[in-house]
Amino acid sequence: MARVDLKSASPAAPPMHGILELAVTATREERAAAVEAARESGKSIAIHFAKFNDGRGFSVARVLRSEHGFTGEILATGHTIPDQALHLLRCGFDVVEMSDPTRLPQWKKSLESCWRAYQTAARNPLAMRREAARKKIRNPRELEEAA
Amino acid sequence: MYRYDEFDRAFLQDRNREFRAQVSRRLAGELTEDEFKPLRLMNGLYLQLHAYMLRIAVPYGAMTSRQLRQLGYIARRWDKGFGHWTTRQNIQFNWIKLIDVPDILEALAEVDMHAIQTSGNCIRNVTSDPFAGAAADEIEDPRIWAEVLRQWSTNHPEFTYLPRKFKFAVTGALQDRAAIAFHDIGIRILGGPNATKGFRIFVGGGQGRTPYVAQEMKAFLPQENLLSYLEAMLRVYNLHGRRDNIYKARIKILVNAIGVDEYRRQVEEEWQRIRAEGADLPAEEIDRIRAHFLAPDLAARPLDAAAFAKARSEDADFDRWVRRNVVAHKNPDYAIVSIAFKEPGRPPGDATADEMESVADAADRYSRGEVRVTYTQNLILPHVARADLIDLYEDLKSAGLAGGNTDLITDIIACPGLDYCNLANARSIPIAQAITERFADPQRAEDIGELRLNISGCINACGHHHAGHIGILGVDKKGTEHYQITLGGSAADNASVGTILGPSFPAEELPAAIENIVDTYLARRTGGETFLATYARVGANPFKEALYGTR
Repeated sequence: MARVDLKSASPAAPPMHGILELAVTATREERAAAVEAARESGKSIAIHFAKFNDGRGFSVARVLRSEHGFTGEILATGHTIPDQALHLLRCGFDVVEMSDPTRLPQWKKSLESCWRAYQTAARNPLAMRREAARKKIRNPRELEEAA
Repeated sequence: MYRYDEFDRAFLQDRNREFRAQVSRRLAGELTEDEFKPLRLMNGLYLQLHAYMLRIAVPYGAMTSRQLRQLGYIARRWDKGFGHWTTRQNIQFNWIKLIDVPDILEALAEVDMHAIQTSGNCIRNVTSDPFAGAAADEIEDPRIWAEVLRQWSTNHPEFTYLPRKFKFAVTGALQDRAAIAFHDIGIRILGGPNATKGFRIFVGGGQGRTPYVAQEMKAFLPQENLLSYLEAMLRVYNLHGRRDNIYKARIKILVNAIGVDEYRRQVEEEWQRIRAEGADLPAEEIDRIRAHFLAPDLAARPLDAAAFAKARSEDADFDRWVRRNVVAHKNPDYAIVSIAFKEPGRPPGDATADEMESVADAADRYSRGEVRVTYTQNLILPHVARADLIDLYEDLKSAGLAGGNTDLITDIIACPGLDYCNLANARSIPIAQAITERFADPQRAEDIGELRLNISGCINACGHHHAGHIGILGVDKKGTEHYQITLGGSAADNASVGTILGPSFPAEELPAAIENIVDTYLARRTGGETFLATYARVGANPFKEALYGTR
């Protein structure tokens, strides 16, 4: 199975210590148990997308990072499309098992499609709207004159 | 008005570049239609009966004259010279070619507009009070928070593939003019103790085949916690909303299945875990957005009351227009003016490129360049000096836009229906036109008084028939177009879903049936009672008897 590393936009090696599958329907207790088991074994946690537009996986990864504090590898398996690359990265995924391995160039391109974000996520590698404002607070009156 | 800076413009350019590439990949066969569909939908592009339809966002219904002129340009260059105001305060173009869409989006970006998230199973364009910033009964300008929501929801990494579409409405006035009770999440700005402000949050309202009035979620949420609380609400929905049946996937179904108390419990638990995570905007960022919506400096413009009264007494149409289309502004020298797109012969809410330009000119001359779209498919000039009303009326009359029928029976909300839409069972536009013809006498329409008549061509309810005082729903009865009538719906405060009156009617019998209902109301009303008040008092029976006889 061909994999792409979302952080480096390059092919990824298979998980070193194997994977632990976590269902998108898992309860909080089941998620906590999976995180515990993955910490002990060094396994990656795999979240399966039955279909690319089933968005539950985004929330599950986000919760693993933000609420369970999981720092190990999170893998997206199943059907995803390159256009979701930044969403996956920002929600906390590290690696995607590509459902179509010929699309690697498109995954790379998609990771560079957008450099700015309006909201926080599990990972915030993009320029943030709220920080743009902090660096340079624009007075709307100035903008009015400029327009 | 919110004005884009380099950040917002650069974001939009990236997004348009991405979509241009997606269109090329689709045309080259590198994306399947199944995979392209959600991508085009979240960029506003539908495939309808005859062509692609592009729905352009007018965030919270507010735009500048420059933006409106650009919509006119797009109508002329890439459509058939007209567009259609929608019930989400947006505009849609019904005759678009896929290959032109990237160029259209670029033309929109030139005036800081887009079509992002006007469709698809994501957070849609946020709607609000069309009188925002001008209304006399306003606690706080709701556009501040609608813009906060627009930014937060734009390309949200976690909430772009929700179980189903998700609609927000925000109101900041005492009177709800944003129909918040019929939204997935409705937000009402409240004045709190010690000049703090907060929000009253409602959840689970909606129309479609299972209409619900929203229920209270939280009585008072401090303003600074808005985004973390909404993230908790959306996360619980994203994880637990049904995905097996699109008709049961909206949040209203989840909330009613587990009960609002259980939903609230889950959300509060989630919120306690995440509220310190930093989703909420820092105060300075809220202040930055707030500063874009400062009240305009409106010069004192005293009205020559005698001349104004004389003009009204000499011209009955002008007088009616003032009565129906002019609303009190927070500044007594000014008024909020409604421009009707509902006269006989016009599909409700259709506007030609020429008309868009005429309104843009009027906005520049009389309303500080500001225009609003209403969910009732009309336009608003929010800041007109009363001293300019006579001149404005003359300008609108020359443009054919001086109809004085706001909130009357001819101010019909209608979806595009079977003339355009591949979901529809029946046509909406010819029905609206036939009813408008029947009540074309403006004096009679005004005698009937405030009456909201809404038409949907199918149960998806884009024409808000559930919320019509009189609602009309197109149904398919053995292959012929029939229409079911509901009475008693309302989207205002104390919102309600209309009740089906009885068996449906074929198109040709419908206008007479509506007239029969109106006559029944007129015979029974007392004093200045509106249709809705009479209906609430006498119930459905007199109307049933009038339509179906005593059985």
